[in-house]
This record gives sequence, C-alpha cells and structure tokens, in this order.
Amino acid sequence: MTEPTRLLQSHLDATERRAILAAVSDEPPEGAEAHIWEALALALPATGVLVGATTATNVAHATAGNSLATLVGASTADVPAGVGIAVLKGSTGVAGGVASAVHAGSIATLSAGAGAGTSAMASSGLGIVASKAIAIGLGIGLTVNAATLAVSRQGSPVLAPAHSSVQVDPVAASARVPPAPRGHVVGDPTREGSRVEIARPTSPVTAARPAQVTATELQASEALPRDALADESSLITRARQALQAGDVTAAMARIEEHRNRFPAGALTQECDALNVLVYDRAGRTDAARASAAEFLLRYPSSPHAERMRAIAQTR
Amino acid sequence: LSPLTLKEIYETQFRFVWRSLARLGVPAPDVPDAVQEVFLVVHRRLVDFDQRCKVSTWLYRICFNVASDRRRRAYVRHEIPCNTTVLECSSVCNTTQSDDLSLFDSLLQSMDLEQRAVFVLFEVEGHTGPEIAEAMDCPLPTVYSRLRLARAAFARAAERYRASQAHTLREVAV
Repeated sequence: MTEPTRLLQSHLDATERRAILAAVSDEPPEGAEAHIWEALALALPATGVLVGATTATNVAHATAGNSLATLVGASTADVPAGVGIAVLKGSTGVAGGVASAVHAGSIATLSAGAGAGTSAMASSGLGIVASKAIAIGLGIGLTVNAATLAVSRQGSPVLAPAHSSVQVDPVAASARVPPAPRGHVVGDPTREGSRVEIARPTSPVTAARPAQVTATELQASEALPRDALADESSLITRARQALQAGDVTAAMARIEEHRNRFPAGALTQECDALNVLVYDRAGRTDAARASAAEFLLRYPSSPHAERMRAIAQTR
Repeated sequence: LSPLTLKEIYETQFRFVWRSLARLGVPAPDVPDAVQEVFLVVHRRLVDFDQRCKVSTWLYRICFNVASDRRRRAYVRHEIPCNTTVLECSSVCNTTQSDDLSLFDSLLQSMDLEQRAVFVLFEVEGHTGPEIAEAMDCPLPTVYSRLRLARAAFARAAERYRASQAHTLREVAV
C-alpha cells in the first residue's frame, strides 16, 4: 500500500494551504507549558514530580461546576515532605452547591462557634479558628466554614468540628499565596493524580463573587495537617499568654517565631492581630497604630477588625 | 531503552499534545485542562508503556480518548465552556487564534473525529500511515480510507468557504 502525497506537497488551493500551514505552525501560548506543569505537580503529590511545594499553605476551594469542594493541606514549614491532598465530597448537584454557598455566606459574619472571633482575643477565650482557606491566586473574597480548633487553657489542642467561619479577604489571600501553584484539585480522591483545574479567564461576574467552601461537611479534620496546626496554635497561645502576663518581650519573641516557622500559616491573621496588641501594650503607640491600619487593610472583615480599628484611631 | 519519565515526555511532547487536543475539537479555553488530563493518564500508564511504538503515537491515542470523552460529556451535560471558572489567569487562556487557524479548525468540523485525527496526523503532523494505524488502533486500509474521506470533506468545506467569501465580497461591492 503506497503512502499518499501530503496535501502540502501537492497542488493545493491557497485557502487550504494557508489553513494547513496555520495548523502546522500553531504554538501553545507562552507560559502555558510551565503553568500546566505546575498544576500537574500539584495534582501528583505522591510522586517525585513535585515542584515548589514547600510553601506553607492550606488551600480550600469550591468548584462551582461539579460542586466538589476540595481542601488541600499543603506542607507547612515544618512538614516539608510534600503536599497532602484530601478531596472531600461537597454537596452534590448544582442546587446543593448553591445551597452550601448560601449557607456559608449566612454565617460568614463570624464570631461563630467555639470562641472564634473577638472573644478569642479576650483574656479568657482561647478558641482559635483553625482552618483558614487561602485562595490561590484568587484575589477575591473567600469564605470558609471551617472546623474550629478549640484550644484549652492548658494548651492541649482538641479538634472539634464546629460551625465557625473564617473570612479571608482578598488582600490577605493574595499576599499569602505562594506564586507557584495556580489551580485546584478536583476529582476522585482515591485515585492518585486527580485533575487540577487550570486557571481560566474569569468573567467579571464570577470574579466579583466570592468563592465559598463549606469545610465542616468535608471533614476538615482529615484534611488539615494536624500536627503543624497544633504546633502553630500552641505557639499563638503562648504568645497570647505572654501578653496576658504582661511579658511583652516574650510575646514578641513568640510572634517572631511564628512568622519564621509559619510564614503562610493558618493563624497568620491571629498572629498579626496579636502583634498589634503587643505593640499597644508595650506603649509603642505609633507602631500599634500603623500595624493596626495595615491589619485592617489586609483583613477588613476580620473578627478582630473592630478592636484593630479602635487602636488605629487612637490619638 | 531506559524508561521515560513524565517530565521528559512532558518537555518533548507538550506542544504536540496541546496542538492535538486543539485540533481534536477541544475548545480553546479547555485545552489547558485537557492537556493536564492527558498527562495524568500518561503518569498512570507510564509503567505499561513499552516504547514499541513512538511516544507521540502512544500519546495521540490518549489525546484522542480525552478529547472524545470531553466531547461526549459536553454533549450529555450541555456544558458551557468556561462556566466553572475559579481562578484567574491571562497568560494561558487569552489566546487569539489567527484567522487562518480558525479557518482550519472550522474546516475540520466537516469531518467526524476519526477522520479528523487521521487528517491532522497525516497532513499537519507528518505521521505515516502505519504510525497512524497504531495510534488509532485500526488497520492501515482504514487509515487510508479515512484520509480519503477526510480530504474530500476538507475540500468541500473549503469550497463552501470560498463561495461564501465570494458572496460576501459581492455584497460589499454592491
């Protein structure tokens, strides 16, 4: 059987030739190769293909399309071994997805659950919001209905699933987001290498709408890097206790330690708020005001916002 | 033969996979997702790949399955492309195809997916008949017969295109 001559090597009308030549010289857009490789690396955590997954971050996402909410507990600073991925089933169906979004939205006013919110900053309340979602590259508001880590006074962490919520505001999210992974994992959790959704151009409508995740339904406790989180929260607790005891130096040292060990920690917001309080307590009014203002910029809808505003406005 | 790694295959075949999926009718905004899907399959099946055929041949079969799978899903679910947008990115997705390429893709729409695959592999990617037979897992005569049908469809579609162009030009002139 003889091979036919290729069209391009035969007499061909200009239109057809032009069209085929365009296909021959078609190139993927610049950056696509690296971009998709990053997404792949994120989707294949257990293999050796991981790149740049050392940044500490917890990622939670809801996908509108298949209403599979996913929660990715990536390696924290002291757990450098890779990205643990747990894919958790969200509500099924589009209607369910909408319902859960509404649900998350309705409790997004915070201060819910076991002592999250302003009371956490008060002298006795030590409830710490445990799961913080960071929207990778989202740049939009993200509401997470997460599990609450109730920390007892003695500092032994207990993971208690409770309805509290955390708001990650856009500035904070983008500030804390590692530049590399832009995508989120969807698909079958039992199968290695679920697909990571690749970024696409957002329509103005979707961009304006915050992504919402209900994580309690997702058994967040399984998805979170418990030990790292426990370490992180105990560090914050010690900082808070030092502040309560009036030991500003020790409190500052704990805060520094937190920043070094958990540069993108789940409790960065708590840490930043504590820092403001420490400045305030130390009588460093200017520093307190400036950092409070910065805090408000970063986390405008934080449960600590009111207190921060008060400090920012002190004369 | 030393076993290939995912990274090696990715680096050498990314462009081929990208183009193949685009030509197999995956909508432009979905191509990155589909590329990833292909390489996830590659990752899973890499251990079984015995390198008896060319990597690109093996890959094309995966591309074909991914593309036809997506096509079926889109049909069943009436998916609207880009509906599940979650993240923002301009670099990858804001591709503006050249007019010629858009023309090529629209001419391809006159063919069924098998014909399209044979046509693109043969006329654009320069694969041989036997290679295509391997990629499509069909006998060689089938490849040639699909190629013949595909060329006829291509020529007819181009003819229609020229006719419509001429018509438009006349209207403009009047």
